[in-house]
Amino acid sequence: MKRSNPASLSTVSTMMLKSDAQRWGSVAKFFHWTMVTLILAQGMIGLIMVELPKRPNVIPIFSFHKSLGLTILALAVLRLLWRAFDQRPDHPASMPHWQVLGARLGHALLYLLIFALPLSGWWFDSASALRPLYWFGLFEVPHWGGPNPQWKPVALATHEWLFWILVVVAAGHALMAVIHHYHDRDNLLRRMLPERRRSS
Amino acid sequence: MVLLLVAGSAWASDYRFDTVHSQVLFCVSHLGFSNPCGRMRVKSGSFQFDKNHWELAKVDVVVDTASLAMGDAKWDAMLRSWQFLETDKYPVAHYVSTDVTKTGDHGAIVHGKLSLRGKTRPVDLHVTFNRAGIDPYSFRYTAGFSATTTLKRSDFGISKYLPDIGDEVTLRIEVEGLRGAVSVPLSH
Repeated sequence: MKRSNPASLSTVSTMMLKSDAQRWGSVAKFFHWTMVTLILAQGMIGLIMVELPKRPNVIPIFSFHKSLGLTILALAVLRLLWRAFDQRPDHPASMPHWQVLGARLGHALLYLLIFALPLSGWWFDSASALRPLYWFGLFEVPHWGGPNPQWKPVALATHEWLFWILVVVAAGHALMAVIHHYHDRDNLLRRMLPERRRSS
Repeated sequence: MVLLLVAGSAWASDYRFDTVHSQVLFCVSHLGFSNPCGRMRVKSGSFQFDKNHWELAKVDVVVDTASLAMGDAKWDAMLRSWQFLETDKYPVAHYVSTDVTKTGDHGAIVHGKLSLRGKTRPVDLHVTFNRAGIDPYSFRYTAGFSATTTLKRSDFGISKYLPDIGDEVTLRIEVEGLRGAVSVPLSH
């Protein structure tokens, strides 16, 4: 990115791409906050769209939800790939063992859900197969097999259940980060927040 | 004609014609060289249909004769003129079924009366039921049919240029009807 420009070397040193033992790198942060934004938007769109009257003008909203879900799935794949090359910052030394285990479980669940949620939506769309699916109108996304009225309600229930599980796990994740930062005062939140200049 | 319309609207119908996806194609011999076809729009109408009770099916449809289109303005004007359909005086054709004979799983003969250019004659339609269900784009419960029939234009007093322009008119009809208000499917 800015590496070739010697004048911005100082910025480069604070905006590291890879994570180290103390802080998350900018790629991990980008994935994290992009996902937060997209998932919040996606959840709200999903909750609202199912309440709208079933008229032709809701179709673009449903198509948008499906396209956004597939985008989240693609980002989840990239994120997991990046994670394989990137190290993870250490847990704060003050963190009790049970919390470390809890965090590991929570993070594993979050990773699982960012795959399972879009996949279950894709499954539901495939089992319904009402209309061809285009990713933001650009290219066709295949359905898994033809319409399947038997699996359709199962896929829908799965999608809805996974969503509410994600709401609980993600809320727990955010809550724990805030507790660490403000109650335990271990500066945990700052590791994932955008880095300011050293002086700040 | 007015009486027929009133009688037609007296029974409640399950489906209203979707006038966009309803077309009447008519073809007539041109000196035996070819069989040019034109199209007319369905203006309004309704039908009753239950695939398990074909015998209860009914149809009442009004076709806009002035909407005919041959793909050529002069040709259209000629067919609309007093020489053929005289659409200024008779702007619609009206078909009302009398009874239905089932011929197969998806087929039936609809017996009925066609009023065209001031004359009413019996006309039988060979109807194929194509599909019924929720249209995933309109969210409306839709039923669609194809039908064919042949009639003699001279029966309706349209005798100009016989036999150079053929007497037998073959009709191909493609229609869809919409049931009730907006339907709510399980998903999108």
